[in-house]
Amino acid sequence: MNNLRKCVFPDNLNAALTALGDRKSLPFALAGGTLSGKNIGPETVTLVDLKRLPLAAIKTTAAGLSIGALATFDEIENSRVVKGWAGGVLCAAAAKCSSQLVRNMATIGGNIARPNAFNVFPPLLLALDAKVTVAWKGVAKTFPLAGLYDGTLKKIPGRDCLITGIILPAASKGLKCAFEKFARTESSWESYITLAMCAEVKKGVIKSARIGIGALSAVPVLAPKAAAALTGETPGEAAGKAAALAGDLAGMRISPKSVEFKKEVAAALLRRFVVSLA
Amino acid sequence: MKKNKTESLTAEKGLFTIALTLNGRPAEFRVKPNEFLLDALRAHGWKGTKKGCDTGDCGSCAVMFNGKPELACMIPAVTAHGSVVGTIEGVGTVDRPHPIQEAFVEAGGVQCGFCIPGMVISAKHLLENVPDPSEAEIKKALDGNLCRCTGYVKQIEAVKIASKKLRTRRASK
Amino acid sequence: MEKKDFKVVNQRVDKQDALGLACGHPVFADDMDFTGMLYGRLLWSPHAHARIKKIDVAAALKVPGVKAVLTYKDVPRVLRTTAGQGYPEPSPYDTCTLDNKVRFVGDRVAAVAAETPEAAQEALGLIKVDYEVLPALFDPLLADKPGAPVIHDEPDARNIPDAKKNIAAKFEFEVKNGEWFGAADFVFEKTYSMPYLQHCAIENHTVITSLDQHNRLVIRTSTQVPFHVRRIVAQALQIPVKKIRVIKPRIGGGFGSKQEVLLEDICSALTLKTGRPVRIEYSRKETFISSRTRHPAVVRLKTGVKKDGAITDAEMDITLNTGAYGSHALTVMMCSGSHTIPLYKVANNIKFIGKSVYTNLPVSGAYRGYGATQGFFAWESQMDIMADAIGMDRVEFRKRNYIKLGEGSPVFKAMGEGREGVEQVITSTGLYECIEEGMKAIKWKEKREKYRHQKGPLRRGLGMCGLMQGSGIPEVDMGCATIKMNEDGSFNLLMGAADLGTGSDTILSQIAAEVLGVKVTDIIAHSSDTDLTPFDVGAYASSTTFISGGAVKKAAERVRDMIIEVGAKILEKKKEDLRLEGGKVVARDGASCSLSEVANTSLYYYNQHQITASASHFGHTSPPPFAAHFAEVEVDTETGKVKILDYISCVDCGTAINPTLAEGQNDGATLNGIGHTLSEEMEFSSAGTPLNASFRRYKIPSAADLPPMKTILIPTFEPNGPFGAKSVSEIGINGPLPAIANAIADATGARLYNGPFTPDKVLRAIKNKAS
Repeated sequence: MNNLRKCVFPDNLNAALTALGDRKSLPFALAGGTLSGKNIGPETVTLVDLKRLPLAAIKTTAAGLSIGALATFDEIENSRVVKGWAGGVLCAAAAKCSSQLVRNMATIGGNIARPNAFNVFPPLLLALDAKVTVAWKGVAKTFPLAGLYDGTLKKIPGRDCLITGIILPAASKGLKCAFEKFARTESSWESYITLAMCAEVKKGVIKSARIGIGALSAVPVLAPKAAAALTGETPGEAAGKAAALAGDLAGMRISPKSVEFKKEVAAALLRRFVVSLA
Repeated sequence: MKKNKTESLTAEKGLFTIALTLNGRPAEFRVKPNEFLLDALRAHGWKGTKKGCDTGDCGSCAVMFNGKPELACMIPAVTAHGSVVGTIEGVGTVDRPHPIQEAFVEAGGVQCGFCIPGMVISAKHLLENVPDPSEAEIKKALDGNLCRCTGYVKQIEAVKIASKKLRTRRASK
Repeated sequence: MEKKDFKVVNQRVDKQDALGLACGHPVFADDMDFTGMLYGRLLWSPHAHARIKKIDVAAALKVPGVKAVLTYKDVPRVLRTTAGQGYPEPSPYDTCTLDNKVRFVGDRVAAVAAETPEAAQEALGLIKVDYEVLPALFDPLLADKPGAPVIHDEPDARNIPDAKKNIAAKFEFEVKNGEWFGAADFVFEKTYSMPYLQHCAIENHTVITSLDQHNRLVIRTSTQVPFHVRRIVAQALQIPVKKIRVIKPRIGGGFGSKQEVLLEDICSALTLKTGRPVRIEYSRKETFISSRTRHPAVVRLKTGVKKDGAITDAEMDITLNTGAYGSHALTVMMCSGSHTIPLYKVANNIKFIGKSVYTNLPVSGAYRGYGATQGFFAWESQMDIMADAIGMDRVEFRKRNYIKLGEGSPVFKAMGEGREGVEQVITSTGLYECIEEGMKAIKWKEKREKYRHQKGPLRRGLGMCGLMQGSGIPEVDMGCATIKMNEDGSFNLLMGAADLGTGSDTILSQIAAEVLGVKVTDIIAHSSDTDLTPFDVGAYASSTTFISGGAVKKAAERVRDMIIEVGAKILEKKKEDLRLEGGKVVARDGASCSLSEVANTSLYYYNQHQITASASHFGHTSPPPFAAHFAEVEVDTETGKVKILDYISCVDCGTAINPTLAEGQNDGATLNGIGHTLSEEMEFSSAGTPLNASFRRYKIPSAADLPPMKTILIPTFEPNGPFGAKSVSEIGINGPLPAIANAIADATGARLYNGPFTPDKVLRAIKNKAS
């Protein structure tokens, strides 16, 4: 941060995007700062402080659940709206982030902006089939979360564009979710494996499933093989055993030291989830 | 915090001048571009806030920042412009201690004392929002304040004692 | 004096400095501003083992604001130890302030002092070093094998038993009464290991050096050993002791990492070179890598047991990894045996084989527990293994064999801490009550019955262990205290003893107040200033209450005598008829005069003199505190996750001078031990680079990790300790590893031999047992 010469405090989105659009001023935008704050390099001359932007609203809409990008983990965890959505899985996930002081500062937008294995929201939002709204001067685009990591978005959030919000599709009554962060300690940033498991159960049968895996790769991945194995099955031990994640994990680069262990833990956690659907 | 227009600060002679409200009073700091709020506070004489790790993992730098306990070592000092900051010095003094500070002493929750300012900041915020917290709620609210001396046992006890003191004080008002 | 008569001692008095600390008073090393202060920074070695062929600081010196750059060419080459121990230190003399060889990633290469941290950082980047990279040694079990690189090949190192074999310390001891294992019905040989662990005191190592108006060097440092600092800095920089003053302000924890003269020498060198105050403050990463750690250890324990419950033979073979330098190499190794083997009677043969070896890894040193942690993991795990083999109840097996009041052990005399020990017998023990109370508190019998039959993947179990430690190093550790009286009947208490947050200022004031018959608030404690307070070895070896407390008590008794002398004149009574009580001198017939009157008389009116006395104390024995720990765990046999459902530690520290502070010490030590057991370990790359040197990746327990945990103090009375006190600060950290290993074995049948018990290891152990 040695070359910082200007700091802008925009109080509306347009002003923020204008500041980011001024490429010559070498700008960088900071939200909570818990991931990026210590890594602002000499290439940044203008800091755009996003904290005054009115982008933290959490509300239900016709489309589903809308969470502003600047909503903090603490706000999400304590939001009555979010608690009532899909069994409060987003609250459970928010609670698992690091520590209270980090949860007070860190935002959901910052958490998904860049690939990072241990971030809590990417695998969960992937499993929930969330969409992300990104804006830059004169443009606002909405696309699936994966677009942040697979090259769809040809821009860098924070540098030349801003994530403004997350949209989650309306949750049906049959949607059951669980979030597991399997780590050494409670207030951990790292984990051995993070699993976001969602299943739509109708008339005692799993209509569909989406499983998001985190901590094993920089970018969250879905487990389509396990999800397919669950579709059409009756919740219970048998279905749970059949849907072990080994098939999906096989394609991932996991250190040989821990791959067997992570497969076992993932299998156990997924099986328990499937049993709980009954 | 002014919210009616976009503000911007420019460094002069390599320093930013920021205006903030600190422990209830207006303050002006001149800060370096690469400085974080923790260093700025300590450089301006506010030594109560401590540096334990400088990476946001120990909580000894916790301060009240615009109404929430936050990690001063993670806040670029320039972004504290226009903010309301509260440090341990603003919570209470030896002559007029806050009930939480008294409770920490009574319960034996202070050993080396290095983590205590941050912990008091977190505990105070908890009790102002959850006047009668459960043990699980206390542990969760303090989970960002690391302590290696006490094992947290007497600190959790201190928060319970403080909760009672504050509720009694409120009831008698 | 009967316990029930105690007025100040054994009371839950508020810690003197607690309120100020809770209000954020600026009392720590870095909380003081010095005019013209320079920022000191150190250049670290990127190589695990290398010679410095050439070092060029010309470019660094040109950076604006840089006032000094020091390399090995600029400081005296005095090989010594950094260990804060009594002179002559029982550690290898293998370290100098700056060397022309580096021996671990994170070893010191050069030092810079500059007007801003940025200038210092820039200068570091401009120091050009030509290294001759050497093969490095990382496996302690290969250290003394042929072909291993020799880490200390310098000809001027001293006190290294076998430098060519990288042996920094070795010790053997044997008691032979018959054929080895001849009488045993069962023999077990198991190997236990512990990794690199770090103290993680929340305050990083910080030192500010400056010159006072007489050009004396003043060292303001976060240290446990101010007097050792003074002596060792004098030695390292070749300046007289009288030119140095060391002041210890409040410290943010130490746990042994600050029983070391780490930064004071290099910071002083920068001040001497520039004439200005210099501050060196370690970053958290530097504290992890370049301060001190716990000695990783491999313990091979071979024991024999008879069907009737007697332990027949014990062979304990420990290899400690002392890292690149041998600080505390001998003493930690010896304590691993001297503080553990005596706990149980061994009928026939005892053998201890210990060695500490060099590796090209971070330097190990003193850490709470000090070898007993490593030793008890092995011993107390093996106790359960033996009990199960002979079909005896695990608790009964310990009760049958543990050392009792009046009993001794051949180990006491043979093994001290760095030298021969002292013959002693147990003069106080509450181990029986510790076990009984602990069993009751955790509902041992009821739960073990309940957990006999379990179904499902979650299995519960209980485990326990017995423990002992020491109270200071006998015939070695000494402390002194000076007390002087003021007009208003208050007293200044000056002691060398170092309060590292433990509350020693408070408890030592309590001891003085008890003798002098005053309130603890009438004692003004001032400690750890080498100009103003008398000598004390410092805070380590669990010695402050026992040794420094003994000195305070003696000094107070001398002052009491002086007061009574004056009081006798005032009251016109015989000295034998007088006592001190409630701030007065009181005669048997009730006549009294205030202490204030005594003070004024002595200062101003008659036979004018200052009522003051000093007294020194050292121990002839080291009466062990005892403890029993109990753990209830739930193991998820499908994921390996271990959850602690309940943890009870019962500790006998004699008289607890301040029960609140004693409990707090034990709580902290125990949770630290739980961290060692479930989550803490330092990780290294294959090139010896530390991988998790941060609080983000090296996880110490947070409040959210605290299991239901309770300390129960079991009072006894130690006749050799002040008011019956023994030590309390270290013993708790030794319990969790064995107690939890035993609980996991009870729950699942699977035993873990290598700490920490992370889920992957637990799961593997469970699978291995099943197959």
